Amino acid sequence: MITTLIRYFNLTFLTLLILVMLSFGLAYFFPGDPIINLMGTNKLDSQPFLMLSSQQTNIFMQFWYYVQALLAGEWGVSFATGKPLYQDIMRLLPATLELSIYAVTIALILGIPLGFLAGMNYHKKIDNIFMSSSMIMYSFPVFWLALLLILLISLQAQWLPMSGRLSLLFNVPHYSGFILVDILVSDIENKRFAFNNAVQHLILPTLSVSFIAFAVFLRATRRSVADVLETQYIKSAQTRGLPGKTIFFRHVLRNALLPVLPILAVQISTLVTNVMIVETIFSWPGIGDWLIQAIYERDYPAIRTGMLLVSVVVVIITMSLECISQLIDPTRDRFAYARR
Amino acid sequence: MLDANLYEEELHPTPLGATWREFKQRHVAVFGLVILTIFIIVAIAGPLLSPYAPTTQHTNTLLIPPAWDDNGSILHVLGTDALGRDMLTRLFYGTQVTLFSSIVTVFIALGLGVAMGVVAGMSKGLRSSFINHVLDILMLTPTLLIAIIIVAILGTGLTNAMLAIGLALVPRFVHLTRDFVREEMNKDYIKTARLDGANLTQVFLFNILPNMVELLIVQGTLAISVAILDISALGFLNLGAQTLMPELGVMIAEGLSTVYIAPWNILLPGLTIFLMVLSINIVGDGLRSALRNRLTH
Amino acid sequence: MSELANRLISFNYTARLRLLVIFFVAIFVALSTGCTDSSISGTAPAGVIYCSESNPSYFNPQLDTSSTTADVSAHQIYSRLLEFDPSTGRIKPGLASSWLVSDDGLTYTFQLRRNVKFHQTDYFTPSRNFNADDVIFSFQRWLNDDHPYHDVNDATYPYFSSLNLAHTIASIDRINGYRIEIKLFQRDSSFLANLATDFAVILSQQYGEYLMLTKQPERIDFYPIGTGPFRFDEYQKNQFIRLLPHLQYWKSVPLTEQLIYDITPSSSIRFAKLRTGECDSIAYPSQAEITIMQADPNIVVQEAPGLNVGFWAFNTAKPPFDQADVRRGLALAIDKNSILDAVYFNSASRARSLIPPSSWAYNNDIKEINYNPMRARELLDKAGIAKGFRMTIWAMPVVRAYNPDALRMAQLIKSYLAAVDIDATIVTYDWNTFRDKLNQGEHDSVLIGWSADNGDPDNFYRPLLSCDAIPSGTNRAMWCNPEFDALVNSAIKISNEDKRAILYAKANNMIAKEIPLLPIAHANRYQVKNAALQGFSINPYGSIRFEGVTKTVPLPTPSMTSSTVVVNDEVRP
Repeated sequence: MITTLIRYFNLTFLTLLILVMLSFGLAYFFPGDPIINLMGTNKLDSQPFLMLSSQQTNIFMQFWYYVQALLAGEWGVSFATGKPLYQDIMRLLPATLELSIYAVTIALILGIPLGFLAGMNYHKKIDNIFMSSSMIMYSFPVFWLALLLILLISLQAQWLPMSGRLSLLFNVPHYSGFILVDILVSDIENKRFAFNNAVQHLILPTLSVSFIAFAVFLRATRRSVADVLETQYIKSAQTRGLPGKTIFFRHVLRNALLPVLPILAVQISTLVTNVMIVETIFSWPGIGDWLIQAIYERDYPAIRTGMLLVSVVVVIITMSLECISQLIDPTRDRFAYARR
Repeated sequence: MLDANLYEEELHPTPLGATWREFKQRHVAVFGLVILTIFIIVAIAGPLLSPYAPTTQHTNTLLIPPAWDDNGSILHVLGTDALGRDMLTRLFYGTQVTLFSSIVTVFIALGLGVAMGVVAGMSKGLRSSFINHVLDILMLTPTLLIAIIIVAILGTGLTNAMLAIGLALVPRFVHLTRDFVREEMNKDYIKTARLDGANLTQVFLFNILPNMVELLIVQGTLAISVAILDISALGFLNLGAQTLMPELGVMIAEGLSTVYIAPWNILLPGLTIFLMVLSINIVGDGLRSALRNRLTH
Repeated sequence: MSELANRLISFNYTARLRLLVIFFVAIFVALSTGCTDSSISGTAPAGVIYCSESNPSYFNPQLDTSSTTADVSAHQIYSRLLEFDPSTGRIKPGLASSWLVSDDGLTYTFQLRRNVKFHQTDYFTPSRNFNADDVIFSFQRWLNDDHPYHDVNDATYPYFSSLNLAHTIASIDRINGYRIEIKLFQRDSSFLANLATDFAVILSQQYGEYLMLTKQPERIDFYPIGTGPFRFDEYQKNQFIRLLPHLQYWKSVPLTEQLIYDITPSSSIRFAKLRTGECDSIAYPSQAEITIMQADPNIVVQEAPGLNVGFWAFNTAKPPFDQADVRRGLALAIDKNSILDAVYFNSASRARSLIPPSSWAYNNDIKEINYNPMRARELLDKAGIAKGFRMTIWAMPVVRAYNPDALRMAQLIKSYLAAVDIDATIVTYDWNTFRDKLNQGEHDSVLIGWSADNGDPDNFYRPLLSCDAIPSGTNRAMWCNPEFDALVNSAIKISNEDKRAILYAKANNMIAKEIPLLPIAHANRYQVKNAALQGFSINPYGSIRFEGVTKTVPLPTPSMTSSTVVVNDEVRP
């Protein structure tokens, strides 16, 4: 177990290092002066940046100072606003995480039980209904789905708001960046009302993201349940006359859930893409909306840092999920090649 | 079905043929295939079928609703957009652009992926480890991020969007090929071939590849649906195909400005993407179950 | 798998699973309905939300002629010496309570208002009231090249330099703390009007000194301090701007508890937000949607003829567009009427000259260019423009009253040009980059326009086509004609309107002959608002004004019927 942990730690560290190198390299690929692309301006006076921009520094030393600057939270400033990127990203990242976490939670809470239901009724009516509807669900282009929801629910029915994460009239102080948490810890008036308002703003974006993720989880769970039910050990358990309850909880549940975790890991990157698209449509003030604005404005420091941060978060989450599933089920060994 | 059984024993259908037989028995899958075929025909013959050019602006018939609406016109069966361009024509061309660019993207990604997968699968040690590691990072990076980086370096455009999506699709083919090759390399028939003196290239071309074709078809089909979704999403975000190009995602983005007076401008292109992706998914899913059934029988 | 075994497992457990699923669904539904239950007591905080179209470049209209900048700052954060009366267009007192003009028209004396307080914010606390020093500071900033703030933020003061005001003003002197005197080199009949425009705002001299001391002078245009009805609170780029009421505002008008600019670039999304009630008013409603808005009982549409012009300008500094025949040829290839249909949805009048028909300087007998593609090709052939000639049409990325959809207009023009065998490419960037590149003259032709800042016709001619307006970035045709300059410069020295009109008619004929730009339309001006918004009217002269705008809260919450802060304890009758 310790070896697994160490191995994953090393792997994550290496991956992060490569990502940092890539982001450093990007500054050279983007049009314009690489040093300006790294810092966003030539008027910074922090120590690592001064060293970075000095003429004598060779490229390896530059990289070293760049890493130092990154670790010190000196991420340069945005071309577009002239403000430090660190502040911007720390404000926006929680909004994205919040949306993703709620969407994944809903997709899992609904997808896994329904997937079990479908898998236990493999090739029966209920299974067929679930399979065909989930097929329809994940064929939706996410941006079209979001637009349809806005058209029907926000504009036609006028049930829910269509943009932002909270009515701008509320001035909730920044605490954790998670809007629901921030409202609960704040001491504004009408806290309850603000909370409701935030939830109303959350529903449509969350629904758009979880709609597709739900279908994927449902199908994955159903497949894995069906596979487990076909195995010899379930059959032998039945022959031995174990009660159905025991078979289900001791064998089916655990073994069928195991493959779902890695699928969740693989889905993270798709999920992030969808979250970013949904953010732009619902003007959700998260990192995706911000990055897409940055590309419109050719804000290279913002693109570089945003890309680095998002991929670092994705890598850490994916690696942790992989690591956990490996710890639970040591027979799986997706990264076997890295051990050789 | 006694006849069928007799037939099968006499004919010994090829593996591909057997899969096709399995596939044919699924009515939904066949229905999906029919729809997909219609899309492909439209994509190929669209320019011949369409009454107008996609960029012709009928300046005196702007924002005409589809023909079934009271204000519709039979001259423009699916209506016109804010510039008076015929919607049906644009959907034909849009299908062509979106579908073909996705197929091309997937083919290139597939070619690259299989080549790299074979190298990774047949090699061991540092080289294999390095390829795998780089690919994992690529796979972990969300498609949209790859696209943003490529757009930042090379600028916007359909080709750059295809490049980004192709890059994002490569790892899945590499993994598929690598795992398959690894597994097969240990099997007896490969060992026999090696003992016969075949080199690695020959083993791959004559022994492994034929066994992989179906797997690649299934994965390739499903990858096309992913590519369609991604290309249209990039078009919608103005990071892929540019305005004036009748790409379906771009059409939805353009339709947004008149969405209240002319909702069909976003509903119809969206519906086209949806149906196209759905039919491909149905076919891909049908192929996959057919393949699984054939292998388990 | 055996069918029996399958049953065995699924019989017990599907039932349980179903229960589990129902349980989860029930929790989900309960959570979502519980949270969205509108019967829970409480109200949203009061305030007005205005959905604006873009990010302001600065919080100081001296630095920028873009209406995005002016809409946020000009009438909200700052006040001017003089104001326009929105209903009559006459000049009325602002921070100057009265003024005198000498007989020779060269000396202006302004008496300043007392007890005017500057904003107190978390970044600056003023210790004195507004006085003559602030006026001199604000004017010297753009007048005097040696002023410490002149080059801060690379300011070019486009409005003042397009009118060459720095060379019109001879001196500006403090007579006493509340009286200043401005001397001109020559008579200028539009001088007072220029002081009442959005751009002639008054900054705080004390704040300027404070920023110099703390070595951060660039903050003056981003963390503004003024005397206007609202003070700056927070700005998140691409998201929102929050302004709070200035409780010691010198006028006694009701102010809303907070004023929020929700930055929403897409016009259809602004409209959607207006319908869902997420915005109380929106910037630049799309002409296409005006009819839908008129049918909505919750939305009020206000309409007024616009003091603006949308045009297609040719870069006359760039061959072959330096030849009048080429420009005429291109202009002949365009059918303005179909553009009016497709882009303005007939909410605009066809432009025959730079100035709209409502202006007193408008003349009816102007010769206009009519659609004639045959003649267009002839002229182009004559000028040596080969078939398949490539050129660019720059389409501005934002919606403006004078051009609600430049991209669509560009596509129409492209198709017209294709008919005379000219291959046009449409170019667009984000708004700030777009204007930077225009200033550098990278374009072949551009679709843009102009909204007047005051009712004076001079406000069209000099900023748009005079030589001085080229470096200040408002002369998009890069056209410099000494004869034309002499004409419009002599027009402002005359105060008799009829005599001036004759000179402007000459200028019109010169434009019609040379065609540095092709006027396309004068769009009507629309303002749409939620019916609950009170006291909000169209300001025909310049940017939007929120002083006196309040929102009545719908009845279900009886505790508050009007969400306003009344300043100075009295409401203006």
